[in-house]
Amino acid sequence: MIRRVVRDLKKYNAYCLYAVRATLKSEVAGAYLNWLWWFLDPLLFMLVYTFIVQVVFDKRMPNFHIYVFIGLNVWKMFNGSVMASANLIRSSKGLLSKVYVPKFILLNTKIFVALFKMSVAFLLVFVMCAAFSVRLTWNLLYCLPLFLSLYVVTFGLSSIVLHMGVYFRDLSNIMSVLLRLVYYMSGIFFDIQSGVPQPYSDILLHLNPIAFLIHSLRQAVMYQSAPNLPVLLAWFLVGLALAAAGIRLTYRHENSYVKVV
Amino acid sequence: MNAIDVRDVRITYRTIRSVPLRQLLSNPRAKRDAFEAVRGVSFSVRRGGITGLVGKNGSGKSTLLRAIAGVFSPDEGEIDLHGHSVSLLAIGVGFQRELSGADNIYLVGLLMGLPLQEIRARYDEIVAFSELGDFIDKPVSTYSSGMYSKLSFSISCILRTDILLIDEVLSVGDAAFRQKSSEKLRELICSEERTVVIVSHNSDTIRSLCDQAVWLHEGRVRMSGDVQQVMDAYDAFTGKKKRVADAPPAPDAN
Repeated sequence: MIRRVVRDLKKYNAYCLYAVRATLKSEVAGAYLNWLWWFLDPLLFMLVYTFIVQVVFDKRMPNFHIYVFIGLNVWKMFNGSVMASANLIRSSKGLLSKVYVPKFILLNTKIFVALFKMSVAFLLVFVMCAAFSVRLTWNLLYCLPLFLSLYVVTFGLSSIVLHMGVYFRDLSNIMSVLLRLVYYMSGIFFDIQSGVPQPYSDILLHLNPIAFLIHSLRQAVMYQSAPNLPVLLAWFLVGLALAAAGIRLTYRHENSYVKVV
Repeated sequence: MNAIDVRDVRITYRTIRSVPLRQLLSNPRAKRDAFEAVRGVSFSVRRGGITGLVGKNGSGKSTLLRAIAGVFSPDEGEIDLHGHSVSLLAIGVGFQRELSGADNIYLVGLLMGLPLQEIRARYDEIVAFSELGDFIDKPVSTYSSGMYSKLSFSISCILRTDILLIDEVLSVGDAAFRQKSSEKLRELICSEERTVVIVSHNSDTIRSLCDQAVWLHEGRVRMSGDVQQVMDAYDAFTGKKKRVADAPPAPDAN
């Protein structure tokens, strides 16, 4: 199977890259403010959350806007990818009934688009850190393994959701509820460590990969400290295992996908 | 030398339809009946040969064509293309509707396995042939159905693959384009290197273009070989049925 994955990756590499580029291009082509939306969208949501939490709920925290911005961006990428995968086969029916494409390649293009947008928005984090004199240290380099793990975990979960989505039409309804639950358990706009009583905060931070990754990213960017490396490695490996399981599922059943949808 | 070998291919549609959850809960053991669309078909097409697939609706022609194109693989048996690249010319080569026509040309080409440079080299020719003009930079979702099929036709004709599978689209677009496209198609089909499989109901088309015909009936090969012989038999079969259908209603006996 590994050989087949490598062969498919090589063969469809050019397609994947072109599709990502074309999708990004088409998304901004129609809008007035073009690619500015990639910054504006998370920025505006940041303002909404900052207003709600700091003004309405009167919870003060230094540099809360950067804090929530990091969380929102990671969440948007994860949420978008998983939701898209539930309907991916159905929505690419036109393509799939005409030509063979390995299904995980399609998923990869979706995730790469989301990753790209997230990376662009992350540039703003550094700008804001500089503007609000948050000290940046070498711990910043931990962002790279953290992003990599985020990609692997997102891909792994999405590939399994993709497979189930073919057979269960209501999966996207169920997923949106489930994801909403995960959203509130990921500490996007509050601090799990100080806001959730023990032992639940540790459980959340270790067992919810998104909570863990968001928390670690904040640690690396805003608080100059390293992530919990064993947990990071563990989630990276779990992500790989999920991805392998997902690709295996799609390989085994992709023959019937076109016939079902 | 053969370009396509189809050996004892069987393709089954299992009706594991995608179900709403409620149905799954109330009736978890819903009967999963299987429908065998292609039941043990074998034939070969030599390199450069033109083969017609005929048969009435539901005889498994399109399913077989899609299996040859690799959209799904056969449940049993084997389809060997000897490493040739293949494209399925059906209405719409698989566009991503939110992307522009130009991007779709590249994406379709890349999925056919062509290198980017080759697509770039033929890009202008495709746009010119499709007569889309400035619309090529607009999203495919804004196209009229005529423009859609013109673009799709132009791509499959101009981006060359070794094997061309044609599914009932010998005429697309308006009258002028139809003439141009059928000339182009003839030129393509008749080129020596290209192997072509055509699915059609029109026996005149098959007779004039193909050198071999395969008649599928209920998922099996009813007859195959020389195009004139097969088509004579097929016409006799369908003609007879037509005469029965066209027979004037029995006079009312009051």
